[in-house]
Amino acid sequence: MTTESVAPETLHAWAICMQAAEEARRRGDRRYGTDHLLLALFEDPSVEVVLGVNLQQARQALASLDHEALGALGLGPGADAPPLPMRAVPRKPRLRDVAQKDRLRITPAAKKVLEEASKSNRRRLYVTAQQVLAQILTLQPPDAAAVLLGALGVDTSEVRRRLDAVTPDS
Amino acid sequence: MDVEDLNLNLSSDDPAIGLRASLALHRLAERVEAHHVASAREKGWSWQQIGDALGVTRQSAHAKYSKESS
Repeated sequence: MTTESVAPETLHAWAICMQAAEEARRRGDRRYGTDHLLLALFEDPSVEVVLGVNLQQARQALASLDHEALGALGLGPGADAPPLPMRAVPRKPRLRDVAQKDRLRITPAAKKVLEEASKSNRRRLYVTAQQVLAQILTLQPPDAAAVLLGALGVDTSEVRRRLDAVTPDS
Repeated sequence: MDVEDLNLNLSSDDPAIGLRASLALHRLAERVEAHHVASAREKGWSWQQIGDALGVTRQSAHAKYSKESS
């Protein structure tokens, strides 16, 4: 987390991927999906404002969804283990950072979100959090990010309206 | 909970819950494994012993966990 108050305009797609992968690692996932991309977007402070929830609430909602699902199998709240440590993510990752041998892979849905988000950009490797968020908002359950937004009680059409107000031409 | 209960619960016919539960189990298993590998290292277990316990080679155990528990 940085202390600067003004958000950077564009994010490096690799930095988003690495941050998403660390969110996945924290939960014990072997792949990172659209839900982890959404968590990674909180690196841009404006995302918290647009969504009306913060990173801790989003992580908590994912944990609750897991508890609920495990409960449906008859596993009580005792069936839990603390989150795993995350690794530091460089702001501007180099190839050697992303090409780690033990990197987590991206899910097809998350890959599509990133590709669509940066499609109209001149530099495909740079994308704004708003562009990625706009793509995530188009997803429907049972997609993981859509389920998460539902669990958080986020009104997607209202968020889309706020996004349009911030970025009129995109 | 006994086996009959589990069978009953597994037959819950909402795939959205069932599939999410399956992923949640995977995640839980990974976290349990990682925590116990870390505690095994603290107790002085070798990567060979950890690999034997997990049914993988010591190289794979080390490759997967050495960064966390170094």
